[in-house]
Amino acid sequence: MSKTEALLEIVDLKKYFYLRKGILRRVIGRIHAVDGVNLTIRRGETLGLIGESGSGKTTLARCILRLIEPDDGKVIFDGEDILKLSKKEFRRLRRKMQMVFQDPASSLDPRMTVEALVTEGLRLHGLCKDREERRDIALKLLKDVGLGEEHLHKYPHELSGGMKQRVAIARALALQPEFLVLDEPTSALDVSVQAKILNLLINLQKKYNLTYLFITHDISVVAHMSDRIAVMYLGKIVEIGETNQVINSPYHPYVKALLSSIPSTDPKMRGRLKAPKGEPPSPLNPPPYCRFYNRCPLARPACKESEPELKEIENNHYVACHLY
Amino acid sequence: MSQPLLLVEDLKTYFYLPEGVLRAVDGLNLIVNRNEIVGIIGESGSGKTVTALSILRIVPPPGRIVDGKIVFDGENLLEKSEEEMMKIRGGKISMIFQDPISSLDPLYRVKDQLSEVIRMHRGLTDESEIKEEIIRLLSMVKIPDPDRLMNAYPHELSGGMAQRVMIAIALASNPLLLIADEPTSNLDVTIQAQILELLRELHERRGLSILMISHNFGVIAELCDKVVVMYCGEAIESGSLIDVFENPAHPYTKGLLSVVPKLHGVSKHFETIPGSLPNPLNPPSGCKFHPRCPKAMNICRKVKPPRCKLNRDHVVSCHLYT
Amino acid sequence: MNLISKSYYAWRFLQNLKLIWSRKDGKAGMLITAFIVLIAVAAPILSPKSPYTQVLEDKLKPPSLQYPFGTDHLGRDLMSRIFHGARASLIVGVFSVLVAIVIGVPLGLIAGYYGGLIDQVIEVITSAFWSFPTFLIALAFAAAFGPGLQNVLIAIGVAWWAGFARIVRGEVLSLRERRFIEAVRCLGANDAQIIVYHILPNCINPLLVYSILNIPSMILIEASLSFLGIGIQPPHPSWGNIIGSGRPYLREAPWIVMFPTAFLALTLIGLILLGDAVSNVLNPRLRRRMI
Repeated sequence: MSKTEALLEIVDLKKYFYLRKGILRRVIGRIHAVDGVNLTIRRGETLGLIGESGSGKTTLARCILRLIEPDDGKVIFDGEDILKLSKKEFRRLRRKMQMVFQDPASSLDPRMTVEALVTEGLRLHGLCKDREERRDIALKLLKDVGLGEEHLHKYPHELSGGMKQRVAIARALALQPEFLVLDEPTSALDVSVQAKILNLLINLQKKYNLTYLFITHDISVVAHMSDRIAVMYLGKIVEIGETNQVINSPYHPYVKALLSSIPSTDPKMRGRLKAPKGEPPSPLNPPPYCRFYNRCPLARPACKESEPELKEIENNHYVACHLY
Repeated sequence: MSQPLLLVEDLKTYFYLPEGVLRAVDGLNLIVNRNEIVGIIGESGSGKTVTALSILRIVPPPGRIVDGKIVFDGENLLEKSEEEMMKIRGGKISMIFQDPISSLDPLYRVKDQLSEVIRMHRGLTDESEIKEEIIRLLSMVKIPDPDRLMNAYPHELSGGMAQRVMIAIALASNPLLLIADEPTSNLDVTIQAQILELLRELHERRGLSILMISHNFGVIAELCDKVVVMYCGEAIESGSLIDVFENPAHPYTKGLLSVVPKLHGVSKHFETIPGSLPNPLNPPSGCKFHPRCPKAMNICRKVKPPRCKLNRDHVVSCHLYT
Repeated sequence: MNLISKSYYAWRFLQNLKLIWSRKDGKAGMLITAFIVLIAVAAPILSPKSPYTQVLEDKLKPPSLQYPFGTDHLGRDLMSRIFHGARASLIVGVFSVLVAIVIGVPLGLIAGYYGGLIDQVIEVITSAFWSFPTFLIALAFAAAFGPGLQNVLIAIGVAWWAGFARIVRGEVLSLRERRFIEAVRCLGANDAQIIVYHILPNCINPLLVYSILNIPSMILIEASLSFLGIGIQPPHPSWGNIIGSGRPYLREAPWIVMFPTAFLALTLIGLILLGDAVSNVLNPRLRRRMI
């Protein structure tokens, strides 16, 4: 995979949150939200990012878009390290990378009409001459996401969940981005609505040659949407590979446990559910060895000696585990 | 066949709002037998939570149960006084909720919340007996180190631990029926698996009947013996798990099952059900699903479909089967 | 803000007015307030005589056809003075609020949005002002800078800004972490754009309610200062100084105290009723029950 194919390259990204106590705000602990993540996203692909709560996937997404400032590492977008840019310089680049958020009810300003919401990006960057032009663009965007002129003057509370999310997608597309981070875009929607939104996203990706980072906890959905899947656990990527590699032949014990925790919708598969024991340790001051050690059914003493690194175990399939 | 534990007949719970009457539950029929796990599956607005609230008669105003029968352990709950209902709630029927941490009182430690139930429904008064019981209950829900954890406050617990505590509280009174309203929707999938394993074990060991409400097909398939599919306040199909999931009769059930993404599927395309969920204040006439039904006939628009029995347990409300 | 939003806001405004009118307290409040405002605005037209003309032979006369509210100790027609005195109250109601907003809102915005040290500093100052009774602050200011309408307005505004700052800060804090603010930042908005387009518009409602609920107290403070002689100075009429001037004559000419007191009370009642209705209408939860 050559460098020119990579749209986004994340190198050793770190983000910590500090717990402070007392009037003088002494630091008493450090939460390792994102702890040295390396990731490459190719142009035009959909990379699925799976993780449970505390995995750091949400923080990672926000670091990529500089909604949170990371503490260390590089985020190289189209050849440029965006972390080194000043806020002003980065503002220009923001147009190329947008995000669709989880709960459309809270990600849309309730006091704005659909037209205002969808064209806000254009107004902020001064991209349109006048209101007429903005309205035309708004109509075109609405058509792209399956809404119509009758929705222009509506308010978010007048729309259903699925329609709100379509508005959010239209808003993200207004600036003609190349890269879209989808942060659990359908988790707050009913399953019948979810399917339509996912189809919409697939069609838009083909139409506009978009690159997606699809973050979710719903593995069945991500299995359908993604070309490649990365699994995070406590701030680190533990396995990454092509979708069918990770889903059908996972190597990391956590990924195996995760997959076998999913209850099957096939009644004949009842009873195959296998829950891993224990709970994830706190991301506060994690141990200096494999973070899955306390829950791993295959743990050996060697696993306690150091943190495992990502190693290529077969073609394009990487695992961070001492067993390999 | 012995008497069912819970029999809900033609339940109607309406909300009287300024903008109109919201028929949250509109003629629901439901049976839970002893030692059985029944699942209610439906999307938002289907009325599943209001059903649970109606059984316990804790429907908040402006909602009211307007019609129907709820027979539990041989008695009609709708005829009972509020005092009698209070003994039943948390007594013979317990309920656990979706967001465990906020369903627990933040001001009280775990042990206090448990001892309250133990005192009220088991009548124990001796401190040491109560403490023993608390530890027994916490161990039953597989909480490690119950001695330490019982002194914790809800906000100090993880989601999984809090849900276990809720289950312990629900079981403290030795209920006959446990109503679980989306108990794992807010939990990580690995923790969800643990809770599902726990519920199954409690069911098998203690003969606990469970009414499980969820929108997640996997959860229902993993746990339930029988399934009720709700749409717009009605049970449009019910039957054994195999019947409903492998031979779905109602077009909505078929559509829903095809829409759920399966882990080992193939295409990069998702099936959909056309149209959208109806406005609960103004539902369609006749069969409420008719505007979205690929098999809709003329009669579907005009007449409410009757309940058709396909086999011993499998019942569907659809004109296709009359 | 585009044209569509503007007309929608107008429609919403009218709908709110209708809702306020539909309530008993709203109706009463609107009528009373409208009445007082009308008097204040049209005082020169409605007054039978000039409020300044002294007819010493007619001093301390009881109400009659010629002097409907009687005369004061300098023979001035009380009705005309009271009608003109309404103006003082109206001006205080409008301009003191403006002063308080001009001081309080920016401070609240900065404190809430940027947090940290600057928030703590502003919080200390706000708390200091908040803990002093407003009357004392106004009194101190008036004593320091002298009496007169202008200084009274500023004095009251200075006494009240802390409440406005608090409200704005609270709104900003709750809005700052909302998803849609993050979404707009993602689109490329800078701080100023976020504050102007998203945070300020959401502050308008609570500010409006707070203003209306506090105007009665402000009017009362002005009346009190004028009563004590350090507010609006005679011969300019204010209900406060009319009451003050009538105090020595309470036995012989009680109407000099009674009428302005009645008007003052009526104004306060009207505004409080209106404020109650407005706060209920604008509160989304209570509003549901009415529509």
